[in-house]
Amino acid sequence: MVVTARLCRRHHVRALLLAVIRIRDRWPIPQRIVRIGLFGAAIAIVALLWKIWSVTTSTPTGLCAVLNGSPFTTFSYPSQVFVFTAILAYVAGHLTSRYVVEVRPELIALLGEERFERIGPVLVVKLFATGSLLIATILNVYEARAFTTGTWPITYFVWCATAASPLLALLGAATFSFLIGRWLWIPR
Amino acid sequence: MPTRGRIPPNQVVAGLSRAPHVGKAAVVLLALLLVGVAGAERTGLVPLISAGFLGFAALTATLFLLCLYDLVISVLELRYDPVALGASNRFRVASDVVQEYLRWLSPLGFVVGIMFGHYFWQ
Repeated sequence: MVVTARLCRRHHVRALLLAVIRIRDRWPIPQRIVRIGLFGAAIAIVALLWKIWSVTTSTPTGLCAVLNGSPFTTFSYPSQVFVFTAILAYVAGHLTSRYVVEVRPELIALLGEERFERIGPVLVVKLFATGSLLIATILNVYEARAFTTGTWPITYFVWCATAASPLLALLGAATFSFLIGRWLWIPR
Repeated sequence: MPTRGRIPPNQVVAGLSRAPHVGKAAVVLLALLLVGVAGAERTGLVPLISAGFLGFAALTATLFLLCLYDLVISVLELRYDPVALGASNRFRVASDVVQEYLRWLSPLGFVVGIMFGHYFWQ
């Protein structure tokens, strides 16, 4: 609670608002388009959540062929296509990150130093890193337990989704890998 | 130094913030967890696939504990040791040679991980 209260202090919010204003100054977008865009994004998110929910609840009986309690693993593309697409997207993410650093070298600073010296952003980054690792641990333990108890693990849902829509799955893998390459393979 | 109402620097927090042997303890913990998972798999307590996921869980759990330690110390510094605020070099590697290799940890981990995960996933 104390940490949350500190992070939500007014000057932290002000920094965020200033950043948004700076973006708007640089790329002025008509207010109406922003509102329509936000409204459309909200509808898209709700539709996506509904779709994920309906697909997830119907998957074990509906979307893909199931044999002995698990989905088939034959997909439209060879699995190597997914692997190499993910690797290429990861490298592409890194290259875009490197390009930004070359064009705007003033963005480079270590956490806790120079432009990132204030404790607020440092704590936010540490909080995100800690939370992400906690989620990753919980998911791995869930997966291990699911394989032991016989309930559908996340892996089966992903197999099923890939079988149902391989192109979207490929796009999802590429997008995820691109972001990982962009954020986690940091240029010097 | 004026503390502006803060509690004066605390020796325990100052000592902890220097991270004495935390990295070594994490390596030992990770090794123990992995040995435990391997033992459970060998004795038949856990199937091979679950053991694989538990191995990754051991890795992420160890990293989580390290991050949690860092986060807690940072929050304590905020209260007890404002001089150390913003210090990001708690786990900084001093050696330039090692740092050069660390740069490649992310791509290497991604490529090896996705290859390994791909065959494991199948």
